[in-house]
Amino acid sequence: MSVFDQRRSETWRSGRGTIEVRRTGRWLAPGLMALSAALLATNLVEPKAFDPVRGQVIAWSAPVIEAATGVLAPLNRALARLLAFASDSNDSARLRAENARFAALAARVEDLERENAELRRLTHDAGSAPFETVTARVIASSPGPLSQTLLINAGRNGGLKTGAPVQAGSSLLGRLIQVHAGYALVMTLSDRQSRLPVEIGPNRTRAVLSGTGGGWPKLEFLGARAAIAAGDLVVTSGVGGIFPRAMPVGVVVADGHDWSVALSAQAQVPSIVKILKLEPGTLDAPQLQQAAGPLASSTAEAPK
Amino acid sequence: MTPTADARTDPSTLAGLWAAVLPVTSLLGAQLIALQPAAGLAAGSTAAFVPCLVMTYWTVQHPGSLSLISVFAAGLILDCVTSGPIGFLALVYVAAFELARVLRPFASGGLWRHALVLVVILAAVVGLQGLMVALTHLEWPSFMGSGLAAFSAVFVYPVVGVILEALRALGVLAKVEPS
Repeated sequence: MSVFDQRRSETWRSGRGTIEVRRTGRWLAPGLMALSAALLATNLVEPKAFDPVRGQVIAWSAPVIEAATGVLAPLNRALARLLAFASDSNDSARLRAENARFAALAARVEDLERENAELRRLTHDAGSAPFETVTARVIASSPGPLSQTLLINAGRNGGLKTGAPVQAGSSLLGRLIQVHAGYALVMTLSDRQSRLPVEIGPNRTRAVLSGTGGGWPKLEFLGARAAIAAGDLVVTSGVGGIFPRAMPVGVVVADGHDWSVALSAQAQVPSIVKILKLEPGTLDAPQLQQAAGPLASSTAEAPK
Repeated sequence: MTPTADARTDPSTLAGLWAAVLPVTSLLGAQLIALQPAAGLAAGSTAAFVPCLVMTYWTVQHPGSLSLISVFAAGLILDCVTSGPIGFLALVYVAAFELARVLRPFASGGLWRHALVLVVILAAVVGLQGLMVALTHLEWPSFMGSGLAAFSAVFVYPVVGVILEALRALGVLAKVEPS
């Protein structure tokens, strides 16, 4: 019998009498903690080390999760409505103030739309390109702070490949990071490991959108005098060729001394998502010098 | 064997089998709840703490009914399904389970003590998760969201307790077959 199999009894006295409890070996808990830490360290050093195991576990458990999500669908909908209502109540005062500001931006948005339409005619963007899409249902979301992922019920069998962009409605939600036979994992834009090249506002200021693990993603690599303002629309820049250009992402919000982005696709976890079937790297990456003009002529300062 | 209290712990009887299976099954059920899409992607999701509530209930109210191995395995499964680093939730769950076991004598002293133990366990879970984020991403995370969610989970605990106690009572109602 190994030390891990040993069970000892321990006695507790309470107001209701004495109870005898079987206790596991004294080294079991520290041993499992050490094993967890070792697995964690291995995973951090070599992130793909456990992908085969992960794939097997997902293959076994995803049907159960999908069934549970189906059974709990009414509860899910009720909870989503409750969360939306609570969110609306909390935000009502702030929204009223922002509403006035956004009304002033309406004319600017119209200009942007006209400009957008013009750009779409000139470029091969998400709105005009005939991408084939696959629709899938979200069956689980990650509850942990280290990963912001969704499990969807479409995978390799549906022709999906790792890296494919995922949309909720017409807005970008994230991309596929693992694709299994009938299921796939989506890394959302709020995941800490997510990095997305974006363009902001009418000046098409370029930046990188970095996930923060739950809150609004932050805009990084902005110039010190980047010409952006709260309410500016944020779209994909297409740099890197992973995502098509001009996919809507969200709007800029001032977050302390930083700029963040309120994501359009993630106000609530969507129940249905759309996956663009395209090969990463096959898109035409726009020329970097396109951003030189707006960046060079930027005038606005960072939020106070 | 006559249908006595001893029969409820004998896995060869229906009641005993129920008592043996219920803790692990309820922990897996709690994980399914934590994974529900409506629970949200926010780090501060109350549903994310439901497995911890279930673990605390079994450890404090019915010591010995839930094994450490099953808690560890449950954490590993959740790590795999959510694409989180393997070992992260397993470590958090094992630590929470051990803390609950250590604090169990204190919790038996009344409702307030029980609530205090739960707060300590949830605070430890939030702190450990934050520490993991700090170590892996080299930045100290905000505890506002997860702290509020953990606080609200304290008020969910009585509901979890009532449901689990009711499920446990079903085992008592099950007819014990004499051997």
